[in-house]
Amino acid sequence: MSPALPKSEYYIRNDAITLIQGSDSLAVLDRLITTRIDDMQDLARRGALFCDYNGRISDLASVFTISGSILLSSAVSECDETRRKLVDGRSWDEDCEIMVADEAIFCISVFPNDFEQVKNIFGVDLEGSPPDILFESDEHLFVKSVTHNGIFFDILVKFENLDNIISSLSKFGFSEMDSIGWNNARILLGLRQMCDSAGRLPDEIGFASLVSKDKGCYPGQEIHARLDSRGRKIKSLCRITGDSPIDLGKHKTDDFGTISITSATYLDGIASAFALIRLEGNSPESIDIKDSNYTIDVMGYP
Amino acid sequence: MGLLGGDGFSLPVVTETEVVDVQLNFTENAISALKENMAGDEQSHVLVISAQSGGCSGYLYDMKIIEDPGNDGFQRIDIGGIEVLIHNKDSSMLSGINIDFKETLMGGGFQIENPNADRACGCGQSFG
Repeated sequence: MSPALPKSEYYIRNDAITLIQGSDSLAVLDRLITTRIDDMQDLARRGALFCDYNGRISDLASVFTISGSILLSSAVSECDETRRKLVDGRSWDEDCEIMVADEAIFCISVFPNDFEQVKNIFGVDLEGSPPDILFESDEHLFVKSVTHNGIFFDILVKFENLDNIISSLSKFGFSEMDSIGWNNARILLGLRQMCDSAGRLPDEIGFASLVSKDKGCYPGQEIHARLDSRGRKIKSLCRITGDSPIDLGKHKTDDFGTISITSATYLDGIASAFALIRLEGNSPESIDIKDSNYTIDVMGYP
Repeated sequence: MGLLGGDGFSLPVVTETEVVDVQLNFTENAISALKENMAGDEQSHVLVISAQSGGCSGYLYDMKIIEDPGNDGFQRIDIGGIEVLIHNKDSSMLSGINIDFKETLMGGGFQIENPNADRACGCGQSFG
């Protein structure tokens, strides 16, 4: 049995939201992240990584370009350090203002039955729209996410409109997802969080596509370049699925040595987890953990 | 008003940067190269040395010859008759740096050695 995506549910994300304004805002952010953003169109979204000088992930982010400003959605656990990097990293003559928007702008992930439902509620036709392009309606921004396991969309909404959006969703039969439901959905969709990524190399987590090899220097770039030319991926983040609940942490296995479970859920009799497994280039279909068998999907992006 | 036009935005809480009295060490080669680059504009122009985020190691050096910005936020150091400016926000990172000038076809130019840095990039432009 495979886990199913939620239907007619929404989740208010607990992300750190930072507004970056000024004519040099793109340049300031671009110097700090692994992903090229200087070619981004207005009203677009792109995933990005902050890494330390050892090339290991220190924050996960989504970059939104909105009419000359940038909205950065990143991990709450790392936001103080990420904002300090942005503030300290401005040169004396750069026009770049950093503002905390945690109380001003919220991101709601919505899992509709179908996109007709979305059109009926918000008047936005997302069905044929490309992913990662922002659509403005009223004062909200809508963006579609397409993953290997399903499609959902996010709404960026300002605090003043949050109640209105929630009541519109409720009126059309949507219910709010709890953190267990969200964890289950994000594992199914392959949405990694800091618990899966902190201190790991992008390649191990399936984030190689968030490292732009042609953008020049950024913190960690020397290591990423060396790994690209000489490295060999040892561990890989995988989604494992089975019938028995899995505990977080390290587990010893016969075939793969010690593995790390970084996220895990158990819902409706189905266990799903992200696991860092020493695959060493192999592509196994299953893994035995404590007498239970789980199927393995090696994670790509997204 | 759009998404960004509402209430609830605030400034990030960031620890104040320590300001120290800056000392700079230029080699004779570096002073000569600086004078050559100034091309007689020493009265109106200054050299600003600054740090910004980026590079492999976390921060990048930047050197600019510009018209005197007349800004109070800078410390001014006279190097052979040329004013060199360091912004207070960069003072703790850049105080004590040694600046040399190397004339080589590859990787030549001003070279900065920074005693405050724990690490540096191979190209010499980044430190952390």
